[in-house]
Amino acid sequence: MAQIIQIDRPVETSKSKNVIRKTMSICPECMKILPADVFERDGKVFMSKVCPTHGEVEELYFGSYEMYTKFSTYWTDGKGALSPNVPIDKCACPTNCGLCSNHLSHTGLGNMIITNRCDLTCWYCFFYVKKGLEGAYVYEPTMEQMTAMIRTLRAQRPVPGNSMQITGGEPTLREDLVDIVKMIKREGINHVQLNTNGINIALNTDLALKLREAGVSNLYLSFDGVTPKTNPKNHWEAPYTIENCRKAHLGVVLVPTVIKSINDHELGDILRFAQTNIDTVRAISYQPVSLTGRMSKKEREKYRITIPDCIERIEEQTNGEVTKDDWFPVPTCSPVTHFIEAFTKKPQYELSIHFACGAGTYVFEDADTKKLVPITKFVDIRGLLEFLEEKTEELESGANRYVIAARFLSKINGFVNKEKQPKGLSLAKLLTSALLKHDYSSVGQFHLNSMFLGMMHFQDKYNQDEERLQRCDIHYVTPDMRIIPFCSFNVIPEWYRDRIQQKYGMPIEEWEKKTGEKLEQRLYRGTLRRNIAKHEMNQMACATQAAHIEPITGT
Amino acid sequence: MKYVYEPVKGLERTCIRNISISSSSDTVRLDEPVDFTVKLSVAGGIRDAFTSDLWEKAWDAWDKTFRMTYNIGIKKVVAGPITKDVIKSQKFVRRATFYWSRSPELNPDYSKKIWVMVVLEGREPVHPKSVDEAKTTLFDVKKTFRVMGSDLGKGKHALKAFGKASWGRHIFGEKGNSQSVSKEITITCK
Repeated sequence: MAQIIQIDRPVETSKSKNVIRKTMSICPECMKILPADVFERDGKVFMSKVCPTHGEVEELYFGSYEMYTKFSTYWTDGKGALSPNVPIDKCACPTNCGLCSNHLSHTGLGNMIITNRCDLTCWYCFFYVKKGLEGAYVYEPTMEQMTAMIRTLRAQRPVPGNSMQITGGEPTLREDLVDIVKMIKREGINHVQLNTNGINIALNTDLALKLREAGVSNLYLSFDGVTPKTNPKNHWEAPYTIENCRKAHLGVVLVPTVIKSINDHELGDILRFAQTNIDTVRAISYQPVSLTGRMSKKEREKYRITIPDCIERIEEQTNGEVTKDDWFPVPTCSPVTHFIEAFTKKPQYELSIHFACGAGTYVFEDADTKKLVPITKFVDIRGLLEFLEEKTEELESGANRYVIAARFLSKINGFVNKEKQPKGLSLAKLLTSALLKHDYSSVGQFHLNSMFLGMMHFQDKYNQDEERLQRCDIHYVTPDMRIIPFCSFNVIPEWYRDRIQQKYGMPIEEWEKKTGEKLEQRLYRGTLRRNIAKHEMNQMACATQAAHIEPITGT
Repeated sequence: MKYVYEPVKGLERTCIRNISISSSSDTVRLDEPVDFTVKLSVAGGIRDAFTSDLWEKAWDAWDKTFRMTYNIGIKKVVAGPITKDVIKSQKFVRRATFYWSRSPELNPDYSKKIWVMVVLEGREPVHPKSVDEAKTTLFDVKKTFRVMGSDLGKGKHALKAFGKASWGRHIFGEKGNSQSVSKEITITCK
């Protein structure tokens, strides 16, 4: 059904604000496209917008102005998609996503929903089909549809999509999951990540190995806290999931959805838990909550947390082992990419998202003290990036690449403090291999000895910023051969997600009739928790592990 | 994407203009500091061309960053135009990043509008509100150097400021540089 997209002219708001920049956003009530101010107040950054019908909405945008300022210096636009599926002239985000010709980042990570069924019913999750909702559809694309979706992603130029996340719902509910993974690999995708709550992998000891052998690179495991209260989803199951992945040599990324007043006091403990499993847990991806549905300002203030807030809590909760100065925004990678592009004269995979969307750092465990050592403690990151920018400019100005390579080799050691560098790691050697020889096997070794800490703050209707959306590089592939940015797909589900699932899915009743299954049949009833003895539960529980920092010994 | 190298006319006429040096005092004791303020402006070619048209042209060709590298300092004058002994100098980079702005003020008709952010030395970001402000932020430099009288030595000294600005090759022009020195000033150290 056609819908009128309303766009409004700027409305004067309070002039006392320290406006940093102006952008466009949407009204959370009617989706009218509105001018918005991003401004500083009391050391924090807010967004405000005025809808002529629904009034002013003010929302916390970034919890620290100081960090916002630091991060903004890494702002750089990406290459975009040169083969857009939606060619349009004037930009009218968030309408017409697909990718359109005005999108500024190629796909960094493609998401493919293979089912919207889930074996859990988490209160804050917006992404599973449940009975009792009008217009609820079971969405499970066929193998042919999925193959076409992957081919669409691979057709992207100048950089074909190369990294894929299989997501749901709960993807392990699909019986043909292993075949799907094999198909994705066959189509040329290099990195395959499985987004899961891990319960089926905990219950089925062979599944992790089957998935790794099929081509899964790592699990993207929901993990919201180290206590049953903060993580009712998989508190008892996650250690078994990790243990099965350990046996299968399958890496795990822990993914906590961070909600203020719910689990923001456990961010440090989550890190400790990951540290106890550093041989298997490759990364933590903290995700400050995206507030879906209609919420009052009071409710939003109760739950809203942003990237700087999480970073500050991690500093507090690790007693300063990982400080706020250790974090960099995602586009910090751009000077590295640009150097490789100038060196090879070929477009490279680039993480060109908006600086306010994500942040990250690397930490290493000191073998003696068991303390975490962030990369910034032994690498002059800023100095290295500025050096790379300078060398990129020289290459683009016609300098001989072998001369530049020689200069690179002579200088690279100067950015690494070898005395503070963790034992067994030679970062200079690794960077030389990756940047000059394009040998990324050493990067794999780097990951094995370290843990990546990431933040990714997906938007919602209250803080939606079109400058961020236009640069989004986490995309969904859909059966109508579109590639839709995450923050359109999920922020305005009525235009994207729900509409697609309705079009390509089937009503629950029809699905039940077709499969002979009941939707609730596959709901997880806590089997694992109920079947294991209490003492064993204590041994396996996440909080126990985090407190003692001992690796779990298996079931 | 295909793009054509189209050099901006007159880029080679870029020069450093209005370079000057001033001191906080004409006389200084050996144990006292004195502040020298050096000012310069990059003028002509690249400054004149640095407009939103150029930003868009560069951005369209994936040429999204423009770096100006400055080397500025103070030298002693030995005899006539001959200078030696760099007393103090600083090399730094100012980086302009071209980006697609969604500001309703810049593009009220929702068309593409490429704007600029300048990152100063010390990684301080500036969001210019006008093209002139962008030019001033990127091309006008003012630096203060603090020098101890003992670093100059007893006697009367003639000093000059020097400045060099350089940039790399871009879609709109070749790499280049420009340098200049100021008129001399004298300072007495007791």
